[in-house]
Amino acid sequence: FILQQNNKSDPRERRLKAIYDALDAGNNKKAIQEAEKVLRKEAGDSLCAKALRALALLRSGRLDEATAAASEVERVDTSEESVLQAMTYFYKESHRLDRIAAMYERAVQQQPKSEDLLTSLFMAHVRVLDHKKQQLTAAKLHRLAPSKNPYYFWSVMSVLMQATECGGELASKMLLPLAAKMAEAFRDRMNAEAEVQLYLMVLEMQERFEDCLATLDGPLSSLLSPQSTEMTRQQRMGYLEKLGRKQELADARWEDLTTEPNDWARWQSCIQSSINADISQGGDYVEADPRLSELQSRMDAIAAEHPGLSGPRLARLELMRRCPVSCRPETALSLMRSYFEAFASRPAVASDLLQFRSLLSETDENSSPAKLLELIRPGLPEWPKAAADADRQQLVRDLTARINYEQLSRGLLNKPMDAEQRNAKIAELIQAYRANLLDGLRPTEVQPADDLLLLAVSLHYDAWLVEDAKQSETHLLQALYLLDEGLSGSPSNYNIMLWMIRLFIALGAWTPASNLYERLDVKQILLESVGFVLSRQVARCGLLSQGLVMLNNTAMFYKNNWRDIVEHLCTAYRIGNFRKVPELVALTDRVSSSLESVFCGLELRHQSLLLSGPNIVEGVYEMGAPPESSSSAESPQPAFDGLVDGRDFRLVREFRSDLLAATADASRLLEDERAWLLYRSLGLRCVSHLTRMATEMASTGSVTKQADAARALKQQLMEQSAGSTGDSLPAFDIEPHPCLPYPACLPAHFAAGSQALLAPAIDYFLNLLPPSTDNSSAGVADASSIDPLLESFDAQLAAVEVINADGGSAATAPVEPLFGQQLQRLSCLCESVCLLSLVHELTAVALAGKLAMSKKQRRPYETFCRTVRSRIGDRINRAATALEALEAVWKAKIGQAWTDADGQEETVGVGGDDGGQPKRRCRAKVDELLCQSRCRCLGEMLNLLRVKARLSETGRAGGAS
Amino acid sequence: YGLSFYLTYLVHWPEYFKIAESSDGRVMGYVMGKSEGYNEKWHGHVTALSVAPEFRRLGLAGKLMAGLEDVSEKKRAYFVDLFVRVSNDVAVALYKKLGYTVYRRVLEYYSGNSSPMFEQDEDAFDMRKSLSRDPERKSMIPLEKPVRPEDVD
Repeated sequence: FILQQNNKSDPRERRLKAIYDALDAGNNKKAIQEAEKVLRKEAGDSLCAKALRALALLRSGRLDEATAAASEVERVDTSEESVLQAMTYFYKESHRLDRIAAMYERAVQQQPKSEDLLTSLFMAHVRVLDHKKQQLTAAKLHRLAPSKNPYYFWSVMSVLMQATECGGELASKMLLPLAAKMAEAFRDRMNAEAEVQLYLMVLEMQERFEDCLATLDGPLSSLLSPQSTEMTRQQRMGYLEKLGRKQELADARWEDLTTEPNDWARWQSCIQSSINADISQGGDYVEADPRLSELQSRMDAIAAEHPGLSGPRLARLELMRRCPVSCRPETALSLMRSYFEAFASRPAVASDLLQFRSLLSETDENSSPAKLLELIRPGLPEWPKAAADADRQQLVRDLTARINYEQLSRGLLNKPMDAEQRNAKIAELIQAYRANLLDGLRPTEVQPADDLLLLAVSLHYDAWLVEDAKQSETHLLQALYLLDEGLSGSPSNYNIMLWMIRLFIALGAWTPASNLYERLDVKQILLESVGFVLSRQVARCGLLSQGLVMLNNTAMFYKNNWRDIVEHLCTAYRIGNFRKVPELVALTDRVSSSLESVFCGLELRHQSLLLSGPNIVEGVYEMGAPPESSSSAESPQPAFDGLVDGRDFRLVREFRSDLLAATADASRLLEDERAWLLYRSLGLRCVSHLTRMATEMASTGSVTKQADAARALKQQLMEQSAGSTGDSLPAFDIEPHPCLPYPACLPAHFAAGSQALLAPAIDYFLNLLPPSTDNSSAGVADASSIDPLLESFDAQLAAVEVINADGGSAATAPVEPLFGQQLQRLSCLCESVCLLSLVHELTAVALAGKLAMSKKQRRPYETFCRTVRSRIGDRINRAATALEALEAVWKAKIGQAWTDADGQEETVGVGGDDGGQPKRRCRAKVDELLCQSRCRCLGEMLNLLRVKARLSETGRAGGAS
Repeated sequence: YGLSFYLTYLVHWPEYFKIAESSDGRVMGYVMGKSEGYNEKWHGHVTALSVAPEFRRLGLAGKLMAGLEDVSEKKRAYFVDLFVRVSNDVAVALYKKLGYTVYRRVLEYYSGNSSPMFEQDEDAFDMRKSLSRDPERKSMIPLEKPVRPEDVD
C-alpha cells in the first residue's frame, strides 16, 4: 500500500499513518481499530479514515459492514487523493472496477484541471475496457498538456481499440481513418519507438502494407531501437506476405534462415513461401518438376553444410508433407532412416519422425513403417547397463537411442500387441529400466530410463483397453505398481505423476490422486492447462468438501487474474508499450471464455448447493462465487458458446497415433464439455427453482407464479434425457487416450441415475398444495405424491445394493466391477440423497404458514410432513446401510496388503531376470493406498448421509455444515 | 510464477522473452529477463531459464541464453547476470560452460517453501558474464565476502 503523506509532522497524518502501517502489515483488525480511533477524535469527518476502515473491513471478510462503510464514503464527492486511492483499492479488491471510473468522474468535475486526476480517470476507463471514454479523457489531458506526446498517443490508441472492438464499416470508414489522421498529424513530433509502432499498428489495421514498409525504411525507422531489429525483420516479412510479393518474401525467408539454419519455424515459413512463389510463377508442381528438385538441392546443400543440425534434414520431410507430388514413400523411408541413424542418441527423435508417419506406405512392404524399423534395428546399440565405472554420457546416449527406437516402434506399428508379445516386451523394458538407473541425480532431475518404464505402463494400459479386460483392475494395478517404483527413483517426473493420477482415479482412489496433484504443484496458469486432470473428477469421487476447495481455488484464480491483467494494461499505456495493449485485451477475453473457469465455477455452485441445503445463497456467496443469473429459471439457459479449451492433452506422452487421434478432434472434445455444462446448469437451475417454489408457497399458499417456469424446466429435463439415452451415449464409455476424462463424465452420470429425481421433485412441489374446493383454504396433497420421487431413488439405491451384495467377492456380478465406476454411482446416490433432504426441508418451508395455523387446521399438514419425513428418512438410512456394508468390506482389508507382502518372495528368475514383475513393496504400498483411500471416500460419503439422515429425523431445516 | 509476474516482464521487457518449440509444436523451453542498473551496472538479467526434462541435452539452454545475451549486447549492457541455487550443480556447471563466473554468494537468497525438495533456505550464486562493452571484464571480478539479499543492488 503506497502511503500518501505530505506532512509527517501533522498529527492527523500521523494518526492515518498508523492505519496504513497496520494495513501494510496485514493486521486488518488493528487497522479497523486505528481508523475508528481517528473517526472518534475527528468526530467522524475524516473521509480517508472511513475509506481505509472500509478497506480493512473488506480484507477481514466482513463484507456487509465493508459495503456499508464504503457507501458512507461514496455519499461525499471528493477529490482528496488519499481517499480516492484507498477507495480504488477497495473497489479493486471487491471486483467492482466500474465504480473506480464513476468515482474519478466525480472527482474530475471538482478539479477539471488536475492532470493527476484525469490520468487516474483514464486508467479507470482502461480497467473496464471503455475505449471511447479513454479517448475523451486522453483528449482532455492533451488539451491540458499539449507538449506531452503520451497523452496524445493514448487517445490514438483508444481510437484504435474502438476500431478493433467494433470492426465493420464503422472501423474501416471512420475510426481507422481518424486514428491514421491523428497519428500522421504528429509524424514530425514523434520521438519514441512506441509512437512509431502505434502508427504501424494503425496502418496494419488499414491494410496499408506498402506504407508500413515505407515507414520501416523511412526516417521514422531511426526511432526503432537496435534490440527491435529481430521484430522489425519479422514485421517486414509479414508485410511482404500480405502484399503477395511472393518472390521477395521467399528470398527474405531464405536469408532469414541462413542466420538460424536449425530454426524449425523459419524452415516451415521458408518452405511454404518457396512453394507459393514457385506456384505463382507457373502453375502447380508436376512430378519431377525442376523447380522442386532445385528446392530439394538447396535444402540438401544446407544440410551438408551443417551436418550436426537436425532441422535441415527434417525440413526435407516437411517439404514432402506440404507438397505431396514430391513424395515417394521409398524416399521418405530413406530420409527417415538416415535421420534416425544420424540423431538416434538425441532426445525427442521419435516424436520428430512420427509426424511424418503418413509419408510411408501402408501397402508397399518395402516402404512400410515395419520396414523402416527393420532397417534401423541392426544399427542400435546393445541395451546398456549402468555400472560404477561406465561412461555416463555414453550410457545416456545409448539409452536414448534405444528409447527412441521403442517409442518410434510404438508409434509406427500403431496397434496393440498380443498378450505374449506384450508380456515379453514389458519384461524387456522393465529389466532395461532397472539396469539403467543412475546414481547421484538431484531430486529435480529425472532418470533418463523413466521413458522405458512409461512405455511398459502404456503396454499395460493397452491391455486394459482391449474389450473384456476393461472390466478388470489387473492391468491398471500392474501399471500403478511400476509407476510407484518409477516415482521413488525419479521424484519429480511429472509424466509418472500424471499417469498415476489417472490410474488412481480410474481405480476410485481420490486421496492419492489428489496428493500427487499437490505434488505436481499445479497452480496459476497451470490450472488452465493441467487442472482438468483433477477438476473433472470432483463430481465422481464423492468427496464434495475436498472437491470444493479445489474448485474454489481455480475459480478465484480466474477472477483475480482478470483484475491483474487490466492493471498490466494500465502499465502498458503508462510506459507506452502499445503493441501489448491489444494482446492484453485479448487475454482478458481469453480468461473470461476459459472452459476451465466456467466448468469450475459451475461445479462449485452445484456442489455447494447440494451440500448447503436451503441457505444456498449465502453459502455460495461466501466462497467468492456469487450466484449468477444463470441459476435462475427465468433467465435463459446459458449457451456456453465460444468457450476456449485450454486443456493440454499432450501432457501425458503417447505415441500411438490411433490414441492420439482421440485428442485431435478439438470440437468434439469441447462439445462433450459443453454438453456437461448444459446438463449441470440445468440441474442447478432446477434445484434453485425448487427453493423458489417453496418460498412462494410459504408466502402465498400456492405456486402460481413459479409454476410455468417449473414446467418449462421439467420439459428441458425430459428433452435432455431423451437426447442422452440413445446409442450415442453408452454407459461408462472409456476414452482411449490416457489424458481424456475417464470415464466420460456425462454418460456415466446419466447411467448412474443422476438428475433422475429432479423431474419427480418438480412434480411433487407443483402438486403439493392442490387448489382448494371450498375457496377458504388450500388442501394438501396425498402423501403418496412423493412416491414417484422415492421410486426413482429406489432404482438408484437398488443398483448400489447390488454392488454391496457382491461385497468384493464373486457371489453376484456387480453392475460395475471397477471401483472407480462404483464410486461414481455412489456419488450420484449421494447427490440424490442431498436432493431428497432438500425436498424434505423445502416441504417444511413451503408449509410453514399452514403449520402455524390452529391445531385443528394444521393437523393434515403435520401428518403429511411426518409421513414425508419418515419416508425420506427411511430411504437415507437405507442408503447409509448400503454404504456402511461396503465400507466394512474395505475396512477389513486395511493392512492386509502388507501382511500378504511379508509372506511373499520377490519374484526373481534365473540370472536375476525378474520378468518385469512389479516390486513386492510397491505392490503392497499401492494396494494399501487404494484400500485406505476407498475407505476414506466411503467414510466421507457416509458422514454426509448421516448428517442428512439426522436432519430428516429432527425435521430441522437448515444447512449441513 | 503467477500470471502477473510474467505479464510484468511481458509489458516492460518483451524483447527478453524467447521460447523454443519442438518440430511438433511442444514448448521445449523458455527464457525471460530484463535490463536494469545505472552506468557501469547497466546489465541484462536472467530471470528464468527453463528446459523441459524430455528436451535436455539438446543445447537449448545455451541457445536461449545466447539470445538473451544478444539482446543485452544490443542494449549496450555491460554484463549479464543471474542467480542460481548453490546446490544446483548441473545449472552452475552449465553457466560456467557458457562463460559465466561466480561473482558473489548471496546468503539465504531462496526462502524455503512447502515443496519437500526446498524446505530449507538456500544461498544463491550471483553469476556474471561480461559483454563487449566491458572488455576488461571488470564486472566479473569476484567479491570475496558473501552478501545479504538486502545488500544486492
